[in-house]
Amino acid sequence: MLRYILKRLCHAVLAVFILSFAMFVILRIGPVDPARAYLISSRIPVTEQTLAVTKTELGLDKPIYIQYAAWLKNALQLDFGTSYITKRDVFNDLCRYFPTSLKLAVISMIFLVAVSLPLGIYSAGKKGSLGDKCIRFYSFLGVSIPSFWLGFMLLYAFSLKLRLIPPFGNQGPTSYILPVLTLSFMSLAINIRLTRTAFLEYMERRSLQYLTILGMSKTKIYGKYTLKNAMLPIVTSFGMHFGELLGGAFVVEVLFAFPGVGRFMVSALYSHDFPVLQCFMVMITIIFLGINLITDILYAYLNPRIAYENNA
Amino acid sequence: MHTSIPELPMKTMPKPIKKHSEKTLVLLLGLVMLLLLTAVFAPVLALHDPYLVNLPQKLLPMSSEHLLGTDHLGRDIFSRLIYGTRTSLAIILIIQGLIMAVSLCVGILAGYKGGIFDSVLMRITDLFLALPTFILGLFFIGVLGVGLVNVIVTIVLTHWAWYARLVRSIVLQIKSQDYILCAKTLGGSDFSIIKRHILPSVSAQILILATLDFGHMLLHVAGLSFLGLGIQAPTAEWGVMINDSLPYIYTDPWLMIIPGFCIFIVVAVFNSLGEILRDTVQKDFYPNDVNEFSEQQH
Repeated sequence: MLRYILKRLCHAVLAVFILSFAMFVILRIGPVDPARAYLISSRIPVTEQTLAVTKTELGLDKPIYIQYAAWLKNALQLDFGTSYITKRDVFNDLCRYFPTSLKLAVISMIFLVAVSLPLGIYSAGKKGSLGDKCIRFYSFLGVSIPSFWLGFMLLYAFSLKLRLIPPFGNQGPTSYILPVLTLSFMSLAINIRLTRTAFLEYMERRSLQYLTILGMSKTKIYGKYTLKNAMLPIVTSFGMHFGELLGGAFVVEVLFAFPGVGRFMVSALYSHDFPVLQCFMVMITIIFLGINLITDILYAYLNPRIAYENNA
Repeated sequence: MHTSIPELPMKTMPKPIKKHSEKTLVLLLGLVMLLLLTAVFAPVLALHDPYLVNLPQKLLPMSSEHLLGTDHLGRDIFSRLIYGTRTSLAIILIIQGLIMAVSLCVGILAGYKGGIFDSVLMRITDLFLALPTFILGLFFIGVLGVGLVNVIVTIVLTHWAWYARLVRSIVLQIKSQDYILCAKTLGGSDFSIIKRHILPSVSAQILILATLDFGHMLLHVAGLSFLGLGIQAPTAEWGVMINDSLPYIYTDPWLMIIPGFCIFIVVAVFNSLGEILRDTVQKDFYPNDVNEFSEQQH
């Protein structure tokens, strides 16, 4: 098991380097010239002379692998350069905004796990009942509603009409209610459905029928044997949905005027602020690959065959 | 004694299409037709010019002259919605056409040829699959810039790898069938085998997937437009209409509710249509990941 974890960790670290290099190259060969973007953001007139000066200043005249090596050397010391627009340190800026977004995504993730598992299991156990039908209707509805639209409707109803929840910004724990609901609405629908399918599929196995014949209680069969096996696809899905939640968090933040990284990134993307973009993507990549790693380890814990096969 | 326990199927058998879902299917196809007709005949259906700015008539309520009222620039909302259908549908169709073209080429080449092609192409798809589609989409928007064409390119770039992987796994499955072996033995060239035996079967399944994914992509495009990173004003598109309405949502919520509701209905129609199609076509023919794909990918 330890060997398996170490192996996955090495893969993840390698992947961060490969992905950061790929993104670095794409940013440089893309249709937007970084020097030009820098000049426009700095409000310096774009002439041949200023372009040439900026190119030397930003080191863009050197071959790409040397540029990457220079960037990597600084990045490993957490120096991701300065923003083209604000001229402030990129890493510091992102560190100020990022935790709020991350907190939003993590709370939504906890909410997602805590709600989708019981509802999915209930729905599978009472297949065909009224409760099951309601849950299935919700899981149909959930995948079709645009999250920003839903968020606005909630905002309008609860904050403006009923005045139950503060409408803007981060004003204590109640401010998280609507964004979390909005953010997890779609993932919840997908995961409830997935849990239901996984349970239904596993409940038909002969091994479980055998246990029933042996006289084992239903609670034990579900809680011990079905849960552990049905969890495999569910764990994978949770891992994937964390990424979706993080991406969705940016949209929701803009809607609820939350002081997260969303607004900051939208303006950076709009004006091709490449150092910000590069740093942001590295952070996201590390978080996401970290989540993948955790998923892999959980998976191997639930299904030890995987670790054995990988070591063989 | 043990033989008296009835043989239980390990997996549920593919169900024949149910009576009520046949009715639903007709209804859904009818709605899709209606949508297509709206898009095609937009100039006839729209009562006003969707781009005509008329400031004295801004933010009017619903009336017989302006069926759904007017927006902050005095443009007729109903007409903009009708033209928006055109933009939204056309964009998604172009995106899906491009994705299919790319993924079929890559997937069939990787799956059928195998070897070095396969390894190289699959490592490339790995790069595109490493991050969630929306975040990768933001990255490409940052690289390419905003606007209609860039949105199309971005969504193709972020989604083709998923499809290519699926095409490859379907091709691998077909490749091991006896009839392919038979065609090979009879001296069929690679090209004719791909053209006659592999392509039709793969593209039918990818089409179903595309239907399932239609709604997801519509939400993707609208989400980008909402952030102001997608299609730009004044184009008549639903996401743009929602973005336009943001400063007015507290005084005139209809500006946002109406286009949002349109998106919701269209996404719901395509989601249910895709699901019925998927359930109708033999489910167990798919490699497992196709079903998982459609459930996880959102």
